Amino acid sequence: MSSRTAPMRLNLGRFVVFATLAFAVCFYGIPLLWLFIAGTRSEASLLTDPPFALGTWEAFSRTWTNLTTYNNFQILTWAGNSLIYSVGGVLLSLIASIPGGYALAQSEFPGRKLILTLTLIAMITPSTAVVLPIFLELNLLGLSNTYAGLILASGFFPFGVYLTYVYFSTSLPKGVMDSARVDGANRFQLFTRIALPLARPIIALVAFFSFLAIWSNYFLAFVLLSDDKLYNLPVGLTALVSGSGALSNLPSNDVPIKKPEVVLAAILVVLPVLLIFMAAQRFVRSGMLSGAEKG
Amino acid sequence: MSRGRAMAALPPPRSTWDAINPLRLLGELSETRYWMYLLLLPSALLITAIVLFPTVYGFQLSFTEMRLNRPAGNGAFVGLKHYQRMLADPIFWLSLRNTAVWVTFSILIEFVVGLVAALALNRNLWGGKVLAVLILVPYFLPNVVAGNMWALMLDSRVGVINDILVNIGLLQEYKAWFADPNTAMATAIFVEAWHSFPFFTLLIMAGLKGIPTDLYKAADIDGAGAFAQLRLITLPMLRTIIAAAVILRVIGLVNSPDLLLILTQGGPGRSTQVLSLYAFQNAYSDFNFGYAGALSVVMFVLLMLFAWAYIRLSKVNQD
Repeated sequence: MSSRTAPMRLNLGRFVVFATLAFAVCFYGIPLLWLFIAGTRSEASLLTDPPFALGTWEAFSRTWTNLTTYNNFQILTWAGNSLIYSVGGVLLSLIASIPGGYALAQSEFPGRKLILTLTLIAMITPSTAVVLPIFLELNLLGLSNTYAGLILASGFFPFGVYLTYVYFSTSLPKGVMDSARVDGANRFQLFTRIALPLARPIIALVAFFSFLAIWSNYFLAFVLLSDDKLYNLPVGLTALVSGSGALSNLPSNDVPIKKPEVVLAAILVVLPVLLIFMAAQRFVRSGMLSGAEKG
Repeated sequence: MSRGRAMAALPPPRSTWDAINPLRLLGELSETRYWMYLLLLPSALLITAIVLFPTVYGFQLSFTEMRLNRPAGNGAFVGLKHYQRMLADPIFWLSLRNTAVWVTFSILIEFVVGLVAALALNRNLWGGKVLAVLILVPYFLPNVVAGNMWALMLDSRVGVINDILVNIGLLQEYKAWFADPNTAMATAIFVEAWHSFPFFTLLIMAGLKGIPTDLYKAADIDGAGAFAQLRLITLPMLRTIIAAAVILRVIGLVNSPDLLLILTQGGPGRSTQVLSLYAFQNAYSDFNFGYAGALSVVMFVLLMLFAWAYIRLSKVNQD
């Protein structure tokens, strides 16, 4: 019986694998490939040539110039803003997550359970329910339309507290901690000299996830920012699309932002994400491994 | 008491610098019973500022009059007025229905595709590792990029999808997918499923690693086929993780109007109007924060029921 079912399972398995491969290529490969190719083509080429026709260097550089010089190098300002929001937000989320997760993992103290529960609730709190009150709150504090306001609103990453908590509860070497204690180290030194160096992989992981979330952040930034000098890239890209009518197929206007410029702007938004994803892929894995060997 | 012991263990300060050295002070502080609370202070402050306070404030908003364009009478308690209006508001009911359609079909597609992809990648065949990385890439595409990219590809003049569909004969002429009320929601669901199914793949793959292989060996001996094994072993063993993934995704979908805001703004007509979008429009087009707050509270309550289920099912709270 099993000799008859075994080859059948193998075939089914192969079929599923190849189906998934084909699916992945069609569904992911084609759109992404098209996006990157479209960035090199002119508006006319997009309208008339076959969908995967390669563009020219001239078309690409003209698109690039149109995009970057539009409205006094607006897109570069937005890219700079995105960088400020991301770095600030990632730092804030690390300052909150790492000590918090360590405290929760390290000892029993009154209120520990309550804080863990609160963290979990914060993880699943619907963002739309808090976005409007946050907007009013920042208004009251005079932080609406400031860098600090958006950094504050996006800098808390409860998932980071939870990840750190899980990491420290399993990987803190109790023996090393105890002997350091006997040698006269205080608890602050235990945290900075033993726990933090061990925490490198989890710091990378939290930074990675919160960077991705903050860099891609659209809704929160859209709600909180009304000054276009403070836009981040996602909000800027949307403003560019709706402001220029590039995607609406209306009679052409003289705004130099057409479809190729929009595609290029989209690539600009996604490129750092892709690069960091590829880089972190290796870093996070090797960090995990070295942590495991030492621990 | 513990503080006194710590002070005795440390040498007395020798210079002015030593007296104000922040590292020494932190070291001393770390021996008191306040240390744990000090470590928790940053996250506690942030939780208060951007989760607890806004949540409470949002509840309060829903019972008050708050129109930013009509400052007179703002902050007045109006009881259940907003909730009564909601019950009689046909757009609310339509949005609720659309939300249900949007969430149910998106999750259904994401789950099925995510499961198939996870099962395939779990076979550890050639190229599986590379594919496992590649499949995650779109999940990390910012919503704005995924949305605008698909808006371009489905464009009625230059859209590559239209081109392909016309060429293989499935379509007579280029179609404006988001301009037709009959196709707008389905197309938006397709884009959403394209973007988010790797979330299910990721979680299900993690779950598959936890199933003992003995179970499959025993099933092989008993002559159970691939589908029987899927139905009787894999799916039951994955029950908790699937439930958790579904609930997390439901929260994400109900919550975030990002994709619909970019693709359709709720239109054409109100064919893709969902609750989160409606709440947002009430606040930002009509400046009616009170009514928007009430809509948010309804979503919050609905989602907290899911949250409760999430904590129960994943047992994360029982350490």
